[in-house]
Amino acid sequence: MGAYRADEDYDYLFKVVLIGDSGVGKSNLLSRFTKNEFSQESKSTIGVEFATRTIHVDDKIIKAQIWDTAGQERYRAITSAYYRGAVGALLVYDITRHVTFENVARWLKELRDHIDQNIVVMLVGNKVDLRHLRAVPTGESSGFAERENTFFMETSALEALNVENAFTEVLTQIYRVVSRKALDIGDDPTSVPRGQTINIGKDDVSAVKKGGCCSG
Amino acid sequence: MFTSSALFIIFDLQAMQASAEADTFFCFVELLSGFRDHFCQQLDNSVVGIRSTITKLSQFLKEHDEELWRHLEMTTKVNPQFYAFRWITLLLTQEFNFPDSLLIWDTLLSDPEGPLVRHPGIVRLKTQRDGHAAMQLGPYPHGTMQGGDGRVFLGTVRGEFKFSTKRLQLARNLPVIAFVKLAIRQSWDFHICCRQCVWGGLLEVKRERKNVAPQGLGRRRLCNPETETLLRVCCAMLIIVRRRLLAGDFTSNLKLLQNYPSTNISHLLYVANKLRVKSV
Repeated sequence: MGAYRADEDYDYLFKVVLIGDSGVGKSNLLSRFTKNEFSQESKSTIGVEFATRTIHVDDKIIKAQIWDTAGQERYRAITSAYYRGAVGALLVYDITRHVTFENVARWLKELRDHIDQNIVVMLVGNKVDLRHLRAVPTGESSGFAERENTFFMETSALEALNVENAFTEVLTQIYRVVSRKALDIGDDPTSVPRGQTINIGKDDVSAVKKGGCCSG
Repeated sequence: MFTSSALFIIFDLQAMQASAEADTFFCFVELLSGFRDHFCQQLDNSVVGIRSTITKLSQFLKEHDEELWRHLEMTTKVNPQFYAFRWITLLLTQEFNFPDSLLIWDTLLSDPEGPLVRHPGIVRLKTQRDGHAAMQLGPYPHGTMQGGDGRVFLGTVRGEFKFSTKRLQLARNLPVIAFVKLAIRQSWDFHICCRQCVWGGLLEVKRERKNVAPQGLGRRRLCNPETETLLRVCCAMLIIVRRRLLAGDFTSNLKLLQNYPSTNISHLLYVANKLRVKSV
């Protein structure tokens, strides 16, 4: 209580990637979550952009390292390094452009091709502020999410609607999996539950922080 | 896109609004022709592709500042692709404000071994040692401009141009003028082709420097001269913030390089130029 905790001080560090077609609002979701900012005239993301934010779940401090990737094909051809070590993903589409929803399956495949373990995925229908232009009914997306076993939420980065919830939910779910896994391993190191394997420890970015001045 | 809007503004400044759009397109094409390999997916794994250029930046840094290179890439594991992809493909335009970008471009484009000498072409621009330039546009749609009055046409871009230091300074920040400035300073004799294409104002201009084999026929360089200059500037950007990088971890270093702080551009270019001397 009252002890100062520096920005670097955290219990868990989770890497989360933002993927989805160009122009669906990934960068604005990120800036809304990390800086509470929204830009009407944002530029195309070139390559990859990176931001962090720390949240609290239970009594733990979770630092989210969020990678916002270019939706355009070009950069993905060059590197898949930004997927490495990711334990969560927000797969974003634009509710006013049906084609961005149709491409969700492709994005999911690419994600699962690059990351061998199952990671926490949240399907995000963005731009719900454009109600009169809606082209993807909520039921269609929620059905897809159910079939593909992902979480689902509709958001508006413009109106700051559900953005906080979407990120927090993903991070909380990762935390649940990681802490459950830690417990399971404690009981029996050979039985890692299938479908919930999250790679921790050996990776440089997604790790449980050891020690530290305020821990223990 | 910033790159083309930068060019558009340059032409607009020259009060040539009528042809500004076409000229912008022409120069944009010209400019990118020096860097086009970075945009070709088929070349990604070749020696001229973007991956290779990013690796060259990394090697360049290692050569000049191994401690910084080691800290950045080994200790904090900052993959240069995470920041240098944007630096290189956008020619640094997203890293700096507009006036600063123009200063950097002036350096990129006026490099003595820069773009002018590389392209074969058709129409003739004669430069004379007395400091006057003349240009014939021959049977091409924009007419002929000739004589020693110091007026120069580059494509359809009319830039009044004399060799007084004052005029040079006026033209200093304009990359297109940098082409002409350099050509005249070097007394080059080269060709310019200017052809208005019917399908939308496309101007195609090609140039040739007399008696010089077009690049590719002669020696093959590791990378083209503009790219070398660009890599020197990129490397200087890393060196200028080296103290902060050496004190930083993965997160702070990546944030710093993705949000490069505003800096004294003259100093940056000075550091970049010193790297040229060192690597000879």
